[in-house]
This record gives sequence, C-alpha cells and structure tokens, in this order.
Amino acid sequence: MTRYFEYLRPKTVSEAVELKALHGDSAKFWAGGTDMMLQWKGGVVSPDYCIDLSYLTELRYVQQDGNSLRIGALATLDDIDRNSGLGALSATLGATARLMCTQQSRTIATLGGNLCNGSPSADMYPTLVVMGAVVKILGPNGERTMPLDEFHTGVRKTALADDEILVEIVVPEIDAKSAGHYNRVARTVVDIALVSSAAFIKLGDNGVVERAGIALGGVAPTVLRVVEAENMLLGKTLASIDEALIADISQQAMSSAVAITDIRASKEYRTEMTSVLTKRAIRHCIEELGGTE
Amino acid sequence: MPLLNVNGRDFDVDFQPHETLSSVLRDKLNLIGTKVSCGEGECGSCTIFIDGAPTTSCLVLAGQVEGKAITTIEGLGENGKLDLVQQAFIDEQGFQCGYCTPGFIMAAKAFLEENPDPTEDEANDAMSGNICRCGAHPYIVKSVLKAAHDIKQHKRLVY
Repeated sequence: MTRYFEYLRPKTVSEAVELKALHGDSAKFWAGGTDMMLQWKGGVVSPDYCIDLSYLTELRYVQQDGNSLRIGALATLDDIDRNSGLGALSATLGATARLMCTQQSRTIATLGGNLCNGSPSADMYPTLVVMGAVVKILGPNGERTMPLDEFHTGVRKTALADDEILVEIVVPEIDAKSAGHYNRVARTVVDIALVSSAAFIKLGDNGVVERAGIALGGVAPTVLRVVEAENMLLGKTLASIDEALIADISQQAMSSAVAITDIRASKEYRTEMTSVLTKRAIRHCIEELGGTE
Repeated sequence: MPLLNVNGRDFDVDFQPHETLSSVLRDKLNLIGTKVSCGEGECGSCTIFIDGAPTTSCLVLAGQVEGKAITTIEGLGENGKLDLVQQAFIDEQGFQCGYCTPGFIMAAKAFLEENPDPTEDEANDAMSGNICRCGAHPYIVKSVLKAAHDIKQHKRLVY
C-alpha cells in the first residue's frame, strides 16, 4: 500500500493553528522531523496532512527576558546548546541538549518536538520540570499557560487539544542563586535514555533551600515529579544536606518509580538506577552552589 | 515544481511530499555522494549542510529545504581540486570501505569551521555523530587533526 500525505506549509503561527483546527487529528504538526520521520517511516503515524512548522522562524528563539528564559517551541537543541551562557540555568539546558541524539540531528530537532512527542524518556522533560518551566499554548480561542509537569499526560500524549500548538517554554528565575543538573543512563551515545533524573535547588537570601525540584524520566508513562522528595530539601541549608539526607531523598524518588521492563532495560535495573542518578544530580547541584560535598 | 538550491545551483525537482531530502538528492539529482545507511539519523552517513548547518538529510523532508542552500559532498572543493578535509582523509587513510566517508567529511568540515584548532578529545567528540562500521575511527580522528593542521598552513600561505 502506498502511503501518502498532503504537505501544508503555514507562513504564520495563527495560520498553523487554523490548519490544525480545520483538519483535527488527521493532521500532524511536523517540526524538525527527527521523531516524526521515524514514526512515519515505521508506520506508527499516518497523517493525511503534514503541517510543516519548519518555516515558522517567529517561534525559533532563545532569549533572556528579565529573570526568565523564553524559548520558542521551534528552537533547536543546537540553538539551546549555543545559548548556554544566558544565566546559570541555561548551562544546564545546554548540557542536557548535548546529551541528545547527534550534532547533525540537533541542528533540526526542536525543543517543542521533544516535548510534544510525549516520550517518557524525553530528556528535556526532567530538566525543565525541576526548574519549574511553564508552557504557553495557542489555540483558536487564544493563549493559555500551564506548568510543564501537567503538560505531559501519558506515553505520546500531551495536554494539547487537536487544534492547539505549543508556542513557548518559559524558565523562571534563571538569575537566582540556583543550580540544576540532569543525568541519565543510555546504551549508546545516540540512544534514548533508559532512565534519567534531574534535580534543582534554589537558595533564598537566608541561605536555605527555597525551591527544590526532583523529576525522573523513563520510569513512568510521563515525566515523574517527586514532590515528597522535593519537600525533603525545602528549608535546609546546603551544609545540612548530608549524604544521609541525600540517600533518603533518593530512596523516596526510587519508591515513586513505576518502571517497566522492555528491550532496553529491566524494571529492577531502572528502579535501582533512579536512586543512583538522583543522588548524583543532587550532589552536582550542591557542588555548583558552593556547598561541601 | 519545487526549486532546490544545491551546491550553488538551482534545480527544478519533482518529488512526493513525504520524500526525504537524502532520497531526492540521490535519486532525483543523482548526487550519490550522500549515503544512506541507517535511515534513522543515528549513523551520520547522510550528513549534508542546510544553510551551513550539518544535518542528517534522511530525517528531513525535501519540501523543508525550499529556499535554503544545500551543500553536499559534491559541493566541496573548487576547480576540480579536493577540499583540504577530503585530502586529509586520503593522506591519513581515514576510511576502509569508504561508505561512511562523505558523512564524516561533511561533519569534520562543519566542525573545523567552528573549531579550527581542536584537541584530539574534541575531534573524537565531534565525530560521535557518525558511525564507521569498519572501525576506522582512530584514523578518522587523525584525519580531522591533519585537516585542521593543513587548513592553518594553507591560510598562512594564502594570506
């Protein structure tokens, strides 16, 4: 059977939304295509219409806006890597981007695509979720925002309605006294994460943890924010976050994991590594903030 | 008919909406220097430049590059002379069967334009987006370092 789709090229974001509203779920947004092409080739998706977003340069930017970092949904992973100097947190975003696929795919793979593809092991989710990122969504009735951890609703599922598009990701407080770290286990350099963990710590003026983030990838249908583990960090000084506490927090993170066994790794391995990676992520944050390790 | 700009020339090319850039380059324009090995963006054999940025052409729809400047391995070198990166791969024997070579050379060319004086570690890292199944990686990294050296020498002579 010959498979075919009709190719549509909107010139503006509002035109893209109109086209999506017109064709509903028979149309797919197509950005860099690094996931879409594989899913098309593999028969996982067979849209009647491909709405090519790659010409919407208005959504391709990484810019500092006061104390926030605003990233257009069509910013590539390479763009994020090249903008690692915009405040401390952008370095963590850049480091996460560099772990993903290869240089020659990072020039086309977009942040919006990574998030909208909705993979449980998408690298950008844990990093952005712990930082408290917010997403901006555009639909026929205007714009709405939501925290990123509510955006991911299941395997290949997001909170986007059929006629909506993700337009922007906003990372708050990039110039605060804060640090974030993402680490993962993968089979090879180009493979997706088997399991991953990110941590984030923001200190208040009084030197105690004011905001904390712990999020896991690859151990649940969605990115998994572990609020109980985050709470264990709140109100602590750096010096009081010792190895015993780090072990307790990592244990808490591990017990939230609902990993599965698949071709890449077993449930047991994934669960165990959740704890290891969470410890490493927290230690990195403390080190970066100048605490004793 | 869509117009594609490849290696400085415009081509009217007829293709299906779902066709990849790599297949249009190879099958419609007969630019078979661009290879396709995995077809999944992991091996780097199909690396070309889109507006100067190295890109896996097996993941790009041909329709996505209208109005952009495409450079393939055939577009390197001038006046029938090989590019210094190509020559360095010959000098250091940076290949065995040669199938992955165009992709490696394109990746190396893009890398050296950004980092003209790389360390061995940096060259290793920069070549991690390409796979050589013959296992010529040590020679490939030597080729990249030789190319860096030759480009510097060449600039000194010319300017």
